[in-house]
Amino acid sequence: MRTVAVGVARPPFWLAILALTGLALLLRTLGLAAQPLVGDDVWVRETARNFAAFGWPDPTMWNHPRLRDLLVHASLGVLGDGAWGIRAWSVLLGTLSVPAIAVLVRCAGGSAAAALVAALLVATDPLHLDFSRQGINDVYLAFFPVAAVTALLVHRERRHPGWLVLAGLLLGLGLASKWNAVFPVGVAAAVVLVQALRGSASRRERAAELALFLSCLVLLPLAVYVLTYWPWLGRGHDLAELLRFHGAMAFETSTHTGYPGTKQVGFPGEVVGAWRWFVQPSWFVDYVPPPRAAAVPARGFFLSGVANPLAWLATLPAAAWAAARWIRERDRVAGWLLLLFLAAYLPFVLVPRPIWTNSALAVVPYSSALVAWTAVRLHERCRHPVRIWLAVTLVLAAFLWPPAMGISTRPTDAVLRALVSPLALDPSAHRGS
Amino acid sequence: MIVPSGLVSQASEPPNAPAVRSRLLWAGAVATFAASSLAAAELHGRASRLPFEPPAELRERPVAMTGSAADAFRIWRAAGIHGRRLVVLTGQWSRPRDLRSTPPTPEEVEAARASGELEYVDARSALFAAAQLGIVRSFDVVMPPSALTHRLGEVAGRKELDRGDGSFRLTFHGLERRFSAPRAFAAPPERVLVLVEPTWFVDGAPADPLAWLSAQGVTYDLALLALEDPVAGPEERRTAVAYGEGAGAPFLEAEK
Repeated sequence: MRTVAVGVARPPFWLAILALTGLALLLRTLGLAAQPLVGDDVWVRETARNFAAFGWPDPTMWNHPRLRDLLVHASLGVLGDGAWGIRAWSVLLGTLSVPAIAVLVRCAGGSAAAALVAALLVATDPLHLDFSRQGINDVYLAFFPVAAVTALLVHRERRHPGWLVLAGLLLGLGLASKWNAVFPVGVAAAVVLVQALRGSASRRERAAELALFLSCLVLLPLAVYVLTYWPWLGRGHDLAELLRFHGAMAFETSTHTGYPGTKQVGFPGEVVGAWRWFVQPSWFVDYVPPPRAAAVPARGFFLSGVANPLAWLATLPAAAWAAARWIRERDRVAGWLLLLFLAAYLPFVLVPRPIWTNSALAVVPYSSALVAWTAVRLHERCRHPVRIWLAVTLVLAAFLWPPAMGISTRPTDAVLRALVSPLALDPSAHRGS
Repeated sequence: MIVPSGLVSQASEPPNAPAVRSRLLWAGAVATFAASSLAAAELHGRASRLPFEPPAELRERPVAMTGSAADAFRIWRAAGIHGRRLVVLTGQWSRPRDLRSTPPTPEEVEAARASGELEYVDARSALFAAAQLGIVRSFDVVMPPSALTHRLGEVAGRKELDRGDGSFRLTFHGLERRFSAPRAFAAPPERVLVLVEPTWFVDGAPADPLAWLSAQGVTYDLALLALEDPVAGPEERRTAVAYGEGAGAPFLEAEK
């Protein structure tokens, strides 16, 4: 068995991770307090208050789990009801997703270089950056499941039940953010469980292993998840009613076509079939019309998160190459990264309805890991093209940071219009948003 | 279980793997925590259902008249009622006023200020407000057959609509609401709140709603007979008053 020495990487690796985390934090906090609140920010704040006080999950996203409400309600109490109170958790978890994916790549057997490039891609991705600076909770999915998978991979090597408990806690928090957390964690858990069962010497050992997995990865996440509904249960509901409520949530989620007053299906580029995410530029543009906030300029305020096309469009070729490596050479790292990417991505692709591009944040860590691993492997064969690709990717990302922070400049607006659509910065295209 | 090759090594148990006993202890501890959490959640929910503590004059028969659903809302709130199922007997179903399209008039704002009540709750929005604040957790709405048919026509295209025989379910953001004709009414298996509105008193609906509810097996800790609702006509209001007086129900003043 190939053993990955998780805790003994050379210090420079951890220093580099620390530096990338610092970069991620800087990008996610720069000018945050002055960035006007978009519609989702305001609704997130109101929903957090309603849920914490009355267990009432409105005015927005009643059909999604409720961890965000509890967290945001707490941060509103500590940091006030402005930008920081609403967005602190997105900033924190968006930042932590950077070291998390690096550690995951290492635990899956990837090189330190691959881990660092993956972390760099996540740290600098403009769409990830955009949603790390908003109250909406999609970026939570770039952390909790990744951290849970990482804990599982550590457990695979160290076999201490504490890692499974940690994985279960993180899975519960991920599920309480959005249900799709279950896919990558579930697939990773299945593989790790099979390995553990195959390594067990007796039926008694297998039974103990199975009991440990079931308690840590089924019962514990379930309990964590249910506890996040404490305010809702405080409306007098029992667990049977919670189950029926989840039936209604599942029905709404499977048929969802937008909340009243938000962008509807068909809005250019943002509400599309998930298969498009990695074959064409993807973006999400929030628009605040002038009268809504004093900080909003006369033409309105645009917050434009454009996924870095040079990283995103490299995903499917990287996946194909990883698949070839896995099949031909039984490359375990390729297998793990591909499996996690597919587990996170395919459920979106298989859903028949269009999906808002912010949901792609749940896939970005794994796609970045695949691309990073592929780039590092290719770098062994042809250094210059890979270095040029990485440099241009970072330069393009830097051009796309200002729009993702709500900063408008002529050059960045020009890049935005060229890359996305002339409609991106046209207020009339955002009516109803 | 089938796992793609290459991911799982065939190695045996590592030497530092915990003993069976240790694994079982961890599993038991985690399972105990999970079971305790679920039990606590169930108890918390049921303990959050707060009944009506009747004043002396309602102890024998918890039935009272009140102005409208808005007054009923204020009574429930002042009494500390929470987390309850509400059975509504009515011939109409109102939607809360959309304050964006129909904002309060200056007179309404002034009246609200004068009464010290800055929230806007009227007979149209009262039941929704009761749900928002957690006073009511689900609705069982019973309508005369013609009113039910009308209501069904209003919501026919809604994706949440779940039709039954003489009834339909229509959740609102997960809030459970069952609408039925009297013949298809299913008595809730717990003590409920009851609200009877004047538009109930038309042909096709049981003329003595409280006796009918009791015959259906409904138990309640407070039944309020509203004397107004948003679409009630003079005849329906007179009938409601006569019914309330005939039932010996006192008029319960809404606390503002």
